[in-house]
Amino acid sequence: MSEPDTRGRRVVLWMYASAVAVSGLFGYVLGIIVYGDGGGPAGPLVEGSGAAYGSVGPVTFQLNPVNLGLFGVVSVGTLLGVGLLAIVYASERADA
Amino acid sequence: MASSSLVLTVLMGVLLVAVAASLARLEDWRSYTPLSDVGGALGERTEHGHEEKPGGLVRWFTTVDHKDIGILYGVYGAIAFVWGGLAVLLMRIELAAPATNVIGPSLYNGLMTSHGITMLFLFGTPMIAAFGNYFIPLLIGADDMAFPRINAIAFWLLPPGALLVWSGFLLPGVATAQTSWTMYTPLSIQMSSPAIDMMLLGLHLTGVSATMGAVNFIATIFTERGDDVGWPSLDIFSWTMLTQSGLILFAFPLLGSALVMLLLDRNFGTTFFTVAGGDPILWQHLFWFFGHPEVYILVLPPMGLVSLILPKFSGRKLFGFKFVVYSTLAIGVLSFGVWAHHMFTTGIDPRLRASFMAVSLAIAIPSAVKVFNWITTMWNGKLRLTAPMLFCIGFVQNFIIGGVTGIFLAAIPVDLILHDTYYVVGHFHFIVYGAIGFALFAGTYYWFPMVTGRMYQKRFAHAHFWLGLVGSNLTFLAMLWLGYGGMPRRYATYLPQFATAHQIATAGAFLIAISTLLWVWNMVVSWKEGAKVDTADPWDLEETGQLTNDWEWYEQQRDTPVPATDGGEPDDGQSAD
Amino acid sequence: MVEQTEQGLSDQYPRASPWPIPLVLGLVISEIGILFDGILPVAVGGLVLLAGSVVGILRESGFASTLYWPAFAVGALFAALGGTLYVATSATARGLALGGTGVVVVAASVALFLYETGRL
Ligand code: HEM
Ligand SMILES: [Cu+2]
Repeated sequence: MSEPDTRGRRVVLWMYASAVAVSGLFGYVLGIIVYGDGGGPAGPLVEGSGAAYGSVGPVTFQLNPVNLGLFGVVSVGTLLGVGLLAIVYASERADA
Repeated sequence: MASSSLVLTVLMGVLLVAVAASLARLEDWRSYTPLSDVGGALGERTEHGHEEKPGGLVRWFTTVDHKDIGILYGVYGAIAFVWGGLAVLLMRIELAAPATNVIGPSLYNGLMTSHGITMLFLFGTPMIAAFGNYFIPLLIGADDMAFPRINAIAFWLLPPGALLVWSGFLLPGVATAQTSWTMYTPLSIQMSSPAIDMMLLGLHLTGVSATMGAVNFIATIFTERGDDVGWPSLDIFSWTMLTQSGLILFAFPLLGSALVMLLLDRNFGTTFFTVAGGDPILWQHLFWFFGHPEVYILVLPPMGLVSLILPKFSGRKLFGFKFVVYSTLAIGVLSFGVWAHHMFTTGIDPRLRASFMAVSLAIAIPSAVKVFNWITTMWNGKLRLTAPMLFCIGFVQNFIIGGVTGIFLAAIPVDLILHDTYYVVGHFHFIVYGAIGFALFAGTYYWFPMVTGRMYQKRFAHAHFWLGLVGSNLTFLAMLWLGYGGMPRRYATYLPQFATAHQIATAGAFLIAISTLLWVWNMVVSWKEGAKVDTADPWDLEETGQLTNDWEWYEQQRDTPVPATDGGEPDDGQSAD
Repeated sequence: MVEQTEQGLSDQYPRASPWPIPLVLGLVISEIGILFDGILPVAVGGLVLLAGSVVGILRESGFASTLYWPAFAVGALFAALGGTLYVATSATARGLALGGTGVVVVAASVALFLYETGRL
C-alpha cells in the first residue's frame, strides 16, 4: 500500500493549500475593498477615514491588504493545520 | 357577482365531469363493488402480473412505483432549479451596476422571494426526496416504499404548490409576493396582493407533501428492511434520511400551523402577529423554530450522500462510520435548540441570547466530526477523481468555509455587526449551493448509470464541476466582502463603492449558470444517447468490497431480460427483495 | 390499450393508481375556494372532488371494503366542520359551503349503501 496511498494525501494537501491561499487572497481583497487600501471608501467597520488598526492578543497591526492577507494565511493555516495533524495522527493509529 | 358565480359553477361542473370521465376510462368502478360480477379482481390480478405498468403518459400520471416517483421528483426539482436560477440571474444582472438599470425594486423583491422559496422548498427538499425515493428501497432491500399511494400523493402535491408559489408571476395583473422567504410580519400581513395568500397556500401544500414523505421514509426504514439489513448494517444515507424525516415531522407541521395563522391574520381579521393586539416577533420565533431545523433538513441527506459516495472513490470504507451516525443524530437533536441565533438583533433577553449562542457553537462540533471523518477517509485512500468524487471533495471544501463563517455569525458581538448584510448571504450560499447543491450533483452523476443504463459525458461533467467551484467561490466570497463592507442584503440598488464586489459576484453567478447548463444538457442528452454501460458495476466497487445493495439489485436487473416497455427502465416487480 | 381491457387500471397494474392526482386536485381547489372570499362554487366543486377521491382511494387500496362507509365518514366530517364554522365564526358562507357539501356527500353515501347492498 505504498504507491496508491499517496494520491489521497496529495488531494488533501491540495485542499489545505488552496484553502490557505484563498484565505490569504480573501484578506488581501478585504483590505482593498473594505479598508480602502489604508484610506479609500470604506464600510462601517472603519472608524474615521485614516488607517485602521486591529489586534490579536498582544500583536497590533494596520488593517491593510498585506497584513489582512497575512492574517488570513496564518489563522486559517493554523486552524486547519491543527485539524490536519489530528487527521494524520488518527490515520496512523487506525491504519497501523 | 351573481353571473361570475354562475360561470364558476359551470366551470367546476365541467371539471368534475372531466375528472369523473377520465377516471371512468382508467378505472373500472364495478370492480370495487362486492356485488359486481366482474369482481374477484384479486384472482385476475395475477394473470396480468407480468405487465407492470400502463404505457405512455398514463404511466407517469398513475404510477405508485418508488423509482418512477423518484424520477418525477428529480425532474420536478430540476425544473424548479432552473426557475430559481433564472430569477437570480435577472437579479444579478440588475446588481451589476449601482442604480436601477434593468428591473425595478418591486420586481427585484418579487424575484428574490421566488428565488429563495423555490430553491429551498421546491428544489432542495424535492431533490433530496428524489434520491430517497429511488434509492432507499434499493439500499435497504425493500420492494417499495411502505405507503406507495401516499408517496404518489406527496409528489403530486408539489406541482400545484409550485404554481401557487409562482402565481404572482403567472397571473397577469396580480402583484408578486415580495415578503422574502422569511415572510416577516407585519410586512407580510400588510401587503395586500393575493399572490401572497396563494404563496402561503402553496407553501402549506409543499409542507404537507414533505410531511407525508417523511412519514413514508420513517415507516419504510423501520419496517421494510430486507432480512439481511439490520440496524448495524443500515447504510449512512438511510441514516441521514431517517434523521431528516424525524426533523421534518417536528418542523413542518409547525410551519403549517404558523402559515395558517398568518393566513387567518390576512383574511379573517385575527391578530396573532399584528402590531396592535398581536406580536410580530412571535412570527419570527415560530418561523425560525421551523427555519433552522429546515437548514439541517436540507443538509443532512446531502451529508449522507457524501458519506456514501466519497469512500467509494477513496477505495476504502468510511472512517469512523459510527461517529458519523452519532453526529448525524446529535445534529438532529441540537438543531431545535439554536433558532434564536437568527434573532440576536431583535431585542430578545440577553440571557436567552447567550444560551442560544452556546448551543449554536456546540452544534459545530458534530459537523466538524463529520468533516474530520471524510478527510481521514481520503488521507490514506487511493482516490479516483471521477465527477461524483470531485463534487464530494468540493462539498467538503465549501462546507468548511460555510461552517466557519457560520460560527462567526453565532458569536453575538459579530452577528450584531454582520446581521442582515451580504455576509449572511455569503455564509448560507456556501452551504446551500456550495455544499448541498454539490452533493446532489454528485448523486446525479454517481447513479446516472444505474438509472439510465448509460454513462454521462465525462468532459462536460468535469467542466461542470470546475466552473461551478470557481463560480461559487467568486460569487460567495464577494458576498462576504460586501458584508464586511456593510452592504445590507435584499436591495436592488447600492452605493457606488460596492460596485466592484457586486460585479465579481455577478460574474461568478454567470459561471454557475453556464456550469448548470452543462449539467442539464449532459443529463438530457446522455440519457437519450449516452454510451450504454456494459457492466453492472461501472464504478468497480467490487474490487474494494464496497458493492452496496443498490448495485446488487442493478446487477439482478441486468441479468433478468425484461421486454422493453415504452420508455421504461426495467422493473423489479415483486422479485427483488 | 387501456380502454380495451375489462378491468380497471389498478386491477391490472399493481404499481399504478389513478387516484392520487384527483385527490390532490380536490385538496388544492377546495383550499383555494375556502380561502378566497366569494368563490364558493370553487370550494364546493373542490370538496366534492376531494370527498370522491378519498373514498375511491380508500376502497381501491383495500382500507375500506365498501364505498358507502368511507363516503358517510367523509360527509359527516365535512358537515360537522362546516356546521362549527357556521355557528361559531363569522365565516358563515364558507361554513355553509363545507357543511352543504358534507350533507350532499352523506346523501350520496346513502345512495351508495342502497346500491352496494343490492337494494337499488
Ligand atoms: C449546516 C448547514 C447550514 C445551513 C444550510 C445554513 C443556512 C443558513 C441560512 C439559510 C441562513 C440565513 C437565514 C436568513 O435568511 O436570514 C443562515 C444564517 C445563519 N447561520 Fe447558518 N447555516 C448552516 C450552518 C450554520 C452553522 C454551523 C452555524 C453556526 C454554528 C450557522 C449560524 C448561522 C447564523 C448565526 C445565522 C444568522 C445570521 C444573521 O441573520 O445574522 N449556520 N444560515
Ligand atoms: Cu440557523
